[in-house]
Amino acid sequence: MENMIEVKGLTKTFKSYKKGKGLSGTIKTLFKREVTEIEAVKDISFNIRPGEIIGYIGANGAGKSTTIKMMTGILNPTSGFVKVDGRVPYEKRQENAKHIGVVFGQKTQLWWDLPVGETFAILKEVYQVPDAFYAEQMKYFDEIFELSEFMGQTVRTLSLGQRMRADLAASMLHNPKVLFLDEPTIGLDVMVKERIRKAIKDMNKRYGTTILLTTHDMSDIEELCHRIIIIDKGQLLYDGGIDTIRRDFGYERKIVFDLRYDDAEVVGAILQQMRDEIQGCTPENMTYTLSESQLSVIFNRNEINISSIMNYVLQHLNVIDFSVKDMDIEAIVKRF
Amino acid sequence: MTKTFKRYLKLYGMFLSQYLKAVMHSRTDFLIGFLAFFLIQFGGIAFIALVFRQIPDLMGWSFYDLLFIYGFANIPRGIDHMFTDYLWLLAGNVIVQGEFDRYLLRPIHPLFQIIAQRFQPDGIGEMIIGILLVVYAASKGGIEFTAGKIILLIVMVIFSTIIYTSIKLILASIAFWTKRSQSILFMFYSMSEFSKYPLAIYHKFIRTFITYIVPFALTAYIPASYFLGESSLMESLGLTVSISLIALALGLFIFSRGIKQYESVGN
Amino acid sequence: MKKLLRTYFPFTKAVVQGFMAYRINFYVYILGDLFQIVVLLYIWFAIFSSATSEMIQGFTFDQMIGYVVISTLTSMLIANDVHWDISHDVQSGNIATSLIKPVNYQLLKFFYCIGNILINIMFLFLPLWGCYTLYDFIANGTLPNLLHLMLYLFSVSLSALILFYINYLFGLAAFFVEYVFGFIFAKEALLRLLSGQLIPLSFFPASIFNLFKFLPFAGLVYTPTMIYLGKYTGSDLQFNLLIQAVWVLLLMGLTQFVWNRAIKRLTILGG
Repeated sequence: MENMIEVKGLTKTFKSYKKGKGLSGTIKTLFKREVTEIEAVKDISFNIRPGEIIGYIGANGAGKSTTIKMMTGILNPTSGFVKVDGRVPYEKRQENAKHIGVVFGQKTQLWWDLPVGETFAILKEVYQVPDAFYAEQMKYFDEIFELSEFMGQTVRTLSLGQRMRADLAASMLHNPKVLFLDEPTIGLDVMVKERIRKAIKDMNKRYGTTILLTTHDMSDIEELCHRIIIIDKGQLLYDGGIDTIRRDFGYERKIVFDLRYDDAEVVGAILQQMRDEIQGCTPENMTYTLSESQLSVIFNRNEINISSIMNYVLQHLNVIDFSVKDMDIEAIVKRF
Repeated sequence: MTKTFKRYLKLYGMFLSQYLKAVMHSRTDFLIGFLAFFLIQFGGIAFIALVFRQIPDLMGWSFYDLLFIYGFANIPRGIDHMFTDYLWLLAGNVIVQGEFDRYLLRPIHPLFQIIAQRFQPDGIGEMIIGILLVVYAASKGGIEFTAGKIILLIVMVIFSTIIYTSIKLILASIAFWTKRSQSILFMFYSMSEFSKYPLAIYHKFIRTFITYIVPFALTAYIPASYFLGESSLMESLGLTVSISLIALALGLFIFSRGIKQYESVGN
Repeated sequence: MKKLLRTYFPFTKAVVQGFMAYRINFYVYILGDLFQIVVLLYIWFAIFSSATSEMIQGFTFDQMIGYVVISTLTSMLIANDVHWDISHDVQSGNIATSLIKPVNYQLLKFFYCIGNILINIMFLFLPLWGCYTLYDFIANGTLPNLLHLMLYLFSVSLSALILFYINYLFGLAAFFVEYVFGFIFAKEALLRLLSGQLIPLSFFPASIFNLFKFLPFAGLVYTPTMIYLGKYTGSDLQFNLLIQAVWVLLLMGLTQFVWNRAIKRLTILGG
């Protein structure tokens, strides 16, 4: 088989009814309802080959979740279709569920009140995993996720990082062909993030699992993804290699300063001068925004020296705090 | 078919043993729940007892007749409470918070997953009090129990429980369209109060309504009336079985339509 | 006083505003509660038609209808969510932040309770009481006695205070009990019986009834309802009002005691 996931002309429109105000409004809406249509996903097509790790990227509300829901069978498309491993997920939902794994970073798929160990015993029954393979998987998971650390605890008592490790292991127990990971590193600290990424890479290598992941973390994309797909306002913006993105945006850095000042105009004038005083600075490779005592400077680190920007701002303005950031996904999407 | 059934049964056993372990672990909570539902029953029983200090019988029913009906009412109610309590949450926040997604991501029927999500030990107390009342009222009131009648009682309880569960399922499933349906579920569930006393005391409209429309009468008075010698087997068991099966079919139908609705609009 | 109102009245307002968004649900829930009243009325009808005399324990059938309606309305009028609100504060740990703020926690909940009662009066008590009074006038030609009504309002204010303190105590129970839901459920079941909401307390055997007279629960529903129906006069009236007032003071002291214990527990265990 050529493609593990095939998405063609996928469109999802939600109808929303305007609710009337008060009792008379409610009664009115019973007879005549004002319908507004919201196109969450518009005519998206892409293919994913077996064994690929795909970064599925977009701002909040871009339509990522809606697409994933259609790929996992939770939601029907308005038009177009999805095929996962040759099946149409929303037509054969339970059959499809046997062959996929899903993790939502925001909420656990596990049973809140059960001990982690018991959760896996139950999942073994749910997915009808043979004994020998189960033993092998549990051993493997213990290696990459160190599950034995919290095997006896109930899910509700786990830390976010532990929970994510358990959730990932649970989604992989039946060795699915496709893994959907929605924000698998959200809210985790750097060390845990690193460990999760390593495990994802390892699983992909060991079983050739096809993985589609959404994330807001640039490092997730750089370290994991073979290819990225960007959507915005429900439409496909980009489908291609990570290199293009790295070349076009990877050099960008953002510094955020917390400032204290009395007169915004004075600050504005000082910032105006910054471009003239720093070497190699042009309106193209350095931009800034000032808002509510916060200044963000975005610049090309290949062309401008970071220390010259730091020096200038620290000397001329009353800085309380600052932080240096990689470019975030939202900013990249905006540039397309 | 039997293979699937066995698999589901085994799975449920695994959940249940965990839940029972947890109950053993938090015995104070169990006792508080037991006390709560005991006190609720006690209030109802005290009411009947106090009233019977003033009158010899209630339109021909003796104190023990009333106690028997009241006790019977609590058995199916308690069993349903034990096993399907999570339907209250389906009617509450499950749909709104997108919790329902996960039931669609597993190769197991979503309704099974909802049922298996919780075991409510409070129902044990409700059931035990019901059984004690039925036994006490039967022995004091001179109701003869043969082995056959005990089996019949158990069968009636099973179908009465199905009625409780089906009514809850139908009303909780409304949440697929309205996002929440807890208040409606509570309103209809409150109608079960009517079933705790002889039907004859109500207006004809209410009698018909709680026998055929929201059939709580079949969870207590109608099955109990057979043992009190007030109705035939056909009028009690026959009616209870047929209406409970219709209610269950309707509940499953609305639930599956609800899932279709969820698949098209999400949460 | 003005400053007090300015600080705490927003909490009352917030409760009422929050209610406006949910008022349809509120009525659906109330409808469920009303079924219990319908059942009760039918049972009394059956009881009176099975009785050998016109009067049972000093009540005619019409008076019993009056008792069921007024006792239900009274319990609806004084109802509050303070226990749920406090237990939620405790279990979510919000209570720690409430303690840091320069406000008195009990006063805060008191004004929350006033919000509950305002809602009860406007959306429940007045419409239902109006319907009943109209019915009573058309069916029996009777109008409420103004003196009884004034005394009822005084008595029911004391009832509201008693329930506020009881619920406040049960809310604080969340410091000591994990299964608050069951605990509060148990309380509600007990109150229904001991307050006279389910059946007039005079139906109990004399010895038990005499004991109940001295408990705070009779002051919740039974006392104001009997006053409304004009069944308490003279020394009976004074005695029962006095009992209510004494319990308000006792419970006030008890909440302070439990609060101090609870805070000690909070500071030892942490939030």
